Amino acid sequence: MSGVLWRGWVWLVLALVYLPILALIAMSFNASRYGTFPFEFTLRWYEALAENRRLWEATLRSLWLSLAVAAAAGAIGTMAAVWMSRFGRGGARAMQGLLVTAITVPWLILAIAILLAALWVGVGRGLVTLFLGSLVVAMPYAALVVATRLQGLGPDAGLAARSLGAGPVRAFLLVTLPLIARAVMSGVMLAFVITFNNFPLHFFLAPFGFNTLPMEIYSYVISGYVPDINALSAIILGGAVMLGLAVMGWRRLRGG
Amino acid sequence: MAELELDRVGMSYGNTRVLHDVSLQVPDGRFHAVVGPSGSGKTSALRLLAGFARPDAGQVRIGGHDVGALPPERRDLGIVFQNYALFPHMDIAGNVGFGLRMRGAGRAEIRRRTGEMLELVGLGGLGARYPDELSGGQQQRVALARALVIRPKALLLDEPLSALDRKIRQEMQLELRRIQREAGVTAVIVTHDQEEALSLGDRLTVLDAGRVCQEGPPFEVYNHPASVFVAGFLGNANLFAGRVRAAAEGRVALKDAEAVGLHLPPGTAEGAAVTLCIRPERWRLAADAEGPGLALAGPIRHLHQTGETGNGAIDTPLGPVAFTVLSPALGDLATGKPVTLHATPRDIQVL
Amino acid sequence: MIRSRTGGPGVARALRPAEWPRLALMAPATALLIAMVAVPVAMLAWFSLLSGPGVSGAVTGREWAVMLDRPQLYGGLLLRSLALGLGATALCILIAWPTAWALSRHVAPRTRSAILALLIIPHLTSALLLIYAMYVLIAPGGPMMTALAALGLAESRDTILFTRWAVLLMLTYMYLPFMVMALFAAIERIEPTVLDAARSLGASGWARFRHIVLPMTLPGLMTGLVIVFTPAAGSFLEARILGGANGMMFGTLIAEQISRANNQPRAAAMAITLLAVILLLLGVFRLLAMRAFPGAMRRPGAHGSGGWGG
Repeated sequence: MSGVLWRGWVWLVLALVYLPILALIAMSFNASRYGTFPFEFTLRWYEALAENRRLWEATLRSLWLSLAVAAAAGAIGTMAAVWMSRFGRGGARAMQGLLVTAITVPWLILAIAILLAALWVGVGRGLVTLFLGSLVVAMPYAALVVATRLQGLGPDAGLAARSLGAGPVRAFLLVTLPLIARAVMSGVMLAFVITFNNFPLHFFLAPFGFNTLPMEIYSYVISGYVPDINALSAIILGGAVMLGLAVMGWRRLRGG
Repeated sequence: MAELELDRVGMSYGNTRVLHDVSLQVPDGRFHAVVGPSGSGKTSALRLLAGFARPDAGQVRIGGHDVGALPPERRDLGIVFQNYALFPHMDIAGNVGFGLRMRGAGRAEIRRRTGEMLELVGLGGLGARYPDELSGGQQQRVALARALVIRPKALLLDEPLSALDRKIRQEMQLELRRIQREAGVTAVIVTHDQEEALSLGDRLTVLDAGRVCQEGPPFEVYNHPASVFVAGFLGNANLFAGRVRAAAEGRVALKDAEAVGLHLPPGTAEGAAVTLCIRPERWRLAADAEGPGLALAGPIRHLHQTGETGNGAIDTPLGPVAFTVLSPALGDLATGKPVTLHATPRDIQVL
Repeated sequence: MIRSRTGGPGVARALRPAEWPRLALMAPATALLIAMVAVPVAMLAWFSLLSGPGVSGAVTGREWAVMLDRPQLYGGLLLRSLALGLGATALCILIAWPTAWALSRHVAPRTRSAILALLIIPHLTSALLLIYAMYVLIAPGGPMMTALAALGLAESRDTILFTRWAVLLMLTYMYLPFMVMALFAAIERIEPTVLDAARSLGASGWARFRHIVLPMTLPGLMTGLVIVFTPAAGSFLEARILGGANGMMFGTLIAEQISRANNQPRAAAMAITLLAVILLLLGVFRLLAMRAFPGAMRRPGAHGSGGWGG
């Protein structure tokens, strides 16, 4: 009996989390320009969205930025994680402290700190500032994901390979890397997601004229209800949930 | 202190019946062992006594009272869990004193009784340590102290020694017995380890597939198993299938041999199928097979010495037969040497 | 949590590589973290002393004087931001705790992982979209108000939009899944037999929560505090879009020092203040937790820290 109440609570919370999202998706099919009732079905906003070149260009910009940052974050983060697991000792703790600190500072404060430092150096807003800023926010996540995996793995496999005559680089490429490949992939994906959505950083560090997707959305949303953005949000949120469900279903099928 | 009783209880998980009509009676101050393979229902029986599960049929009684309606927290039982279930965030004194705290005892009393109990289990002075700073054996003692300090009506032990290594396990068996006696508490231990059950229990109950197979003093159950299952489960046994040829003479024909003068269960008919059970240590090495009983001859298949005794097996037409002899006797034996094993009717159990 | 593990001193020494690849492995990450986090954050202190605009003015400390001069505005706003952050964190804990418990103890493992994934997925997309979704939901004449009006509970033109309650609601919504994750990880580590043991020793439902479950999930709760309270108290977007004038937060004002007022030194001063107060509060919470349950917080991460911050 009490089990039913507990389960009911879980479903209630899940429903509440999805309430705004479902409302948004529903309203993206509503003809009213001001998001009011009565409800009248239309696909007009999706058509408008398809023709909105500003949003598509911003999406492309965001994709390029996030891909570049995610790749760099994966590489640098993995290197740091390997260092922490293999050679670090005391240094590993210091590195972990730095990584956690970087994650803990609120993005707004970090963005402003980076902007002011960049101004002081004489660079200011710019693609390099934006790239490095995004990288330092995303990299710790990748590093910590890989480090956790390496910690679970222990050094045995790598050491075994080396005792069989493989050099350190070959041992890493042939033995360790395949074992941590999934963690590296997760780290890269996490870095991508974080970079793509990091509005505060984009807002303060992107060069003028280089509007990312979150910045474009912001410029619409700040002025109130925008049905085109409803359509875009519905696509992104709906797509993310569908993708997640598909991945889960696929894993379940493969896992038997 | 009180007597514990399961009175013809039945219990199911969903559609699976895990206990059928199980009865168990543990008199005040006794140590009772419930033994069985995994899935035999022994843990379910313990959970019924503890109150973590409810029976579908029958009654659970503590000190003569039906406790069916009492939740575990009001049964006043001390329980020692398989993984000890110590509270990792409390020090040892905190762990041991927890039950007293829940009973609203004062600070001074908690400190005094906790200290006494830690002395009893041999952990005096370790009260400020945390569980993860202790060895497995020490954690076991803490779990015991924590269960005993509340002066429970009875102590329930769920496979308490299975996580310890062999040497410490034997040491803890003796300790457990000593502490139980000194505390004078009724105790039920549930285990799959026959050796543990035989050495700890005043009485033991063998469970299989949710039913009681046999109940009695350890010596009795070991020497007079009531079924092939009990014989095989408790200790090693050579089992031979045979057919009664002459009931009056106690004559049983085996595949390629014959036993004479056996004590058959009363009412055994001519031609009935029986199983002979002979413990390895019951064999005598015989120069020649004379007298009633069963004699089997064959070359020694293998031999190995385990301290004071030696174990071996011979090849016979009935298959390999295991025997145990005291070490000095091993000197005359060698692999491949033919010997004769003899068991008197007293050494042979007919099932 | 990260320990270097080697096969034994002899093996480690024999296989130890030359110095330079080690440095090459850690150098990029270290350089990045120092150049882009440590130095800029530390330099905020310096920038805050300058006179604006820009970061090349003279050292005057003017902005601190201005802020201290108007405690009502700056102090009040800071307090409100902290209150909103704490309120959202408290609501998150209140909702997430039973959710995490139910998921861990009353939901089948397969359903459990699906629900956890469903909870977190929308929050991996842009925060902006979630804020906008909330905007659409609670806007006057929008779906929620229309539904409430249909039930006769409110006028469809009423709304909590552009009040601090909308900000509180949004912050709770934004961080709830992360709190569920942190607490779920902690609750999963409590072995069921530990609760059985407490029960057999006479602990009632409330006593089991108070003496066993709460302290054992405390490290997870601390992690949750770090990952919810820190960004919530330091947020500006939620308040900017949903809060209106009435629901402004300290972070909103910091952002406006840059984007509108062009007063970089004041932004630096405010950012430092906010960061310091957040860290101070986190430290205080940690101390309180350690004092209340010394054993539970004994070794951070030893048993039950759900993440890296605990």
